[in-house]
Amino acid sequence: MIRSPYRKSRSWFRQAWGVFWANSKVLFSYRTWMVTELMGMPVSVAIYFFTGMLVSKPSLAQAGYGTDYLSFALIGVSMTNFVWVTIVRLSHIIQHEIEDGTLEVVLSSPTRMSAYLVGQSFRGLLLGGIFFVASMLVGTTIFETSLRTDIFSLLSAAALILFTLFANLGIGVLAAAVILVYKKGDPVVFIVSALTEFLSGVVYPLNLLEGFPVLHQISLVLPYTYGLDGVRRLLLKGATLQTSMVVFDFLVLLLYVILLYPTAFYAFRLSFDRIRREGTTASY
Amino acid sequence: MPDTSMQPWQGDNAIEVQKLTKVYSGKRGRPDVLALDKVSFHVGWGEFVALLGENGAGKTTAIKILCTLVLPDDGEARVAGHDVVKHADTVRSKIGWMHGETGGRALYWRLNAWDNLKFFAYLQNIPRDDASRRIKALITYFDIEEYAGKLVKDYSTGMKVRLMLARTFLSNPDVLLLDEPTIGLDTSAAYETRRLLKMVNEELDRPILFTSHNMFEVEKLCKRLILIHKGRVIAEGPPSRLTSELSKGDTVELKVASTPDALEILVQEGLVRELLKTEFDGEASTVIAAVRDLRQAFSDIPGFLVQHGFRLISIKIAEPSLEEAFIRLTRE
Repeated sequence: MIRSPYRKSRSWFRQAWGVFWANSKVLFSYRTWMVTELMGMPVSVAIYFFTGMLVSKPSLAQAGYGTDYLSFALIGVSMTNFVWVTIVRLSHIIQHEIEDGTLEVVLSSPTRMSAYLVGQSFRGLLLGGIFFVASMLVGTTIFETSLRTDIFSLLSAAALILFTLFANLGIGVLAAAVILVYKKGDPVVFIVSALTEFLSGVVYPLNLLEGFPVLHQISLVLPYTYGLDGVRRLLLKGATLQTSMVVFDFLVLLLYVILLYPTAFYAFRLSFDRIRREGTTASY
Repeated sequence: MPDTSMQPWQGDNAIEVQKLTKVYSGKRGRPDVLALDKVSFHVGWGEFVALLGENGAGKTTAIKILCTLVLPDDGEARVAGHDVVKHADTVRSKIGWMHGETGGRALYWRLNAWDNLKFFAYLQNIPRDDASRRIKALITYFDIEEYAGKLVKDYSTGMKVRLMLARTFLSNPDVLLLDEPTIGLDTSAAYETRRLLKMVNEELDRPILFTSHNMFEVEKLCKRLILIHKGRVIAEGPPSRLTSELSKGDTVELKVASTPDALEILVQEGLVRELLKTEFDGEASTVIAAVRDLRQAFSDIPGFLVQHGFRLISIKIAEPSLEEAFIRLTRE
């Protein structure tokens, strides 16, 4: 049996699914970690509930997002967590696989690089999705936020969130390309996540930045700014996928997908060739 | 159209390496490291060949080039007929590679043995039904049935090595590249691993190129060895030929029913120059002695010993052990 040949296929989806399946299984084997992470969710929502009492409602209304700060912040924090868990997990898992030596085994198999990266990214997507749903549930049930919960708004928001994730996954692959070479440190994720959390309007409306032109301009370059803006318009103000501002957000995100994906995968390929030249496919 | 990639390459050699050169660039002002310097060797189909060398000699670099993880700077290497640089993807589907230095870390510890193998079956694009059959067969073959459902984190190092070997064989590779597969194993686990390797080579008829620092296992397993030193091949051939070639013809091995101290008389009487090595098993001493003239030693020593009341059990030309040959070659 061991010697007998078998039919070999070249299925990209099968490889991507295998990476997603195995790594999700590893992730969910850490049950205590999952439980404690989920238990921390109500605490972070509560912090924004009480912070919201200090925020002036006029500045929020002026930005076009209504007057309910907790709903505004809940979307910002839940979505940020979703996006960053998805992106950061990719470079973290690659770092671990380099240290354990498992990446070498994967790289010496006929695994397609893109299938590996997509499989790993979707695992982060699953994890981020769980945290996102949990925090939204806590916000809407315990703290009674005023989000639109009709099926049309929810589906539109889900579509925009997925688009935001895809736009940002390119950044995750870029970060993974850097980790592949430098093994430690995560400059791409660190810089982009710090800028995003600070400047994308996660916990305050961007009109507050108008007094700081440089920071405001930087905020307009970040893809996440547009995802957040679109989802808030859909869930807070009842906008639809035909609303011009939401269409604009979609188009900007599409542009980022078109620009970032080929760049990121190319960078990863360059990094892979570099570590093959340097002989540093592992660091155990 | 049938997939012909499954048919093993029928060329003369499973592995062919020609003038392979690799230089690692020195970082932060450190000098460049010449890991391989125009290395050439081959491994035939069905052969079990050891790649020997001291730490840093270039063994792992050679193996990693063959499994496409390191790019050479010059020269050519082919595995199962495919160039490791130009057709890296094809080579990856032809090899089974295992790096023992990871001590079993290169497995997914939060998965059980079955799931570890299933994951790599996905990566190797083995269809579901074939994968299940192969995994079952490998788990039986490598004797990990009892632990197959347990998480790898609870395995002993020996069990992890068995699982790594099973994984190496998952895709039914044409060529096996094993880098120090017994490193860090206790005596019984190392014995078991050697038994499995021999079985894989003989029963499954797969060529194996492996590295090791253990000369005992090299002698036990391999019919041919390649010795690399400072990035160059300095010797190649069967272990026995290597040791006999290194025998300078000035040492004899005596086995005498006596204590080693009593045999000092041979030095005092000028029959041997020096006793190089002595071993006493409670009844007899085995002595390696340097002599001035081999022919004279064979004619004089037996008579002398009998005259002085010793019982000579055997006398023969002493060859260095593989370990001694290795040390002599690398020092020279």
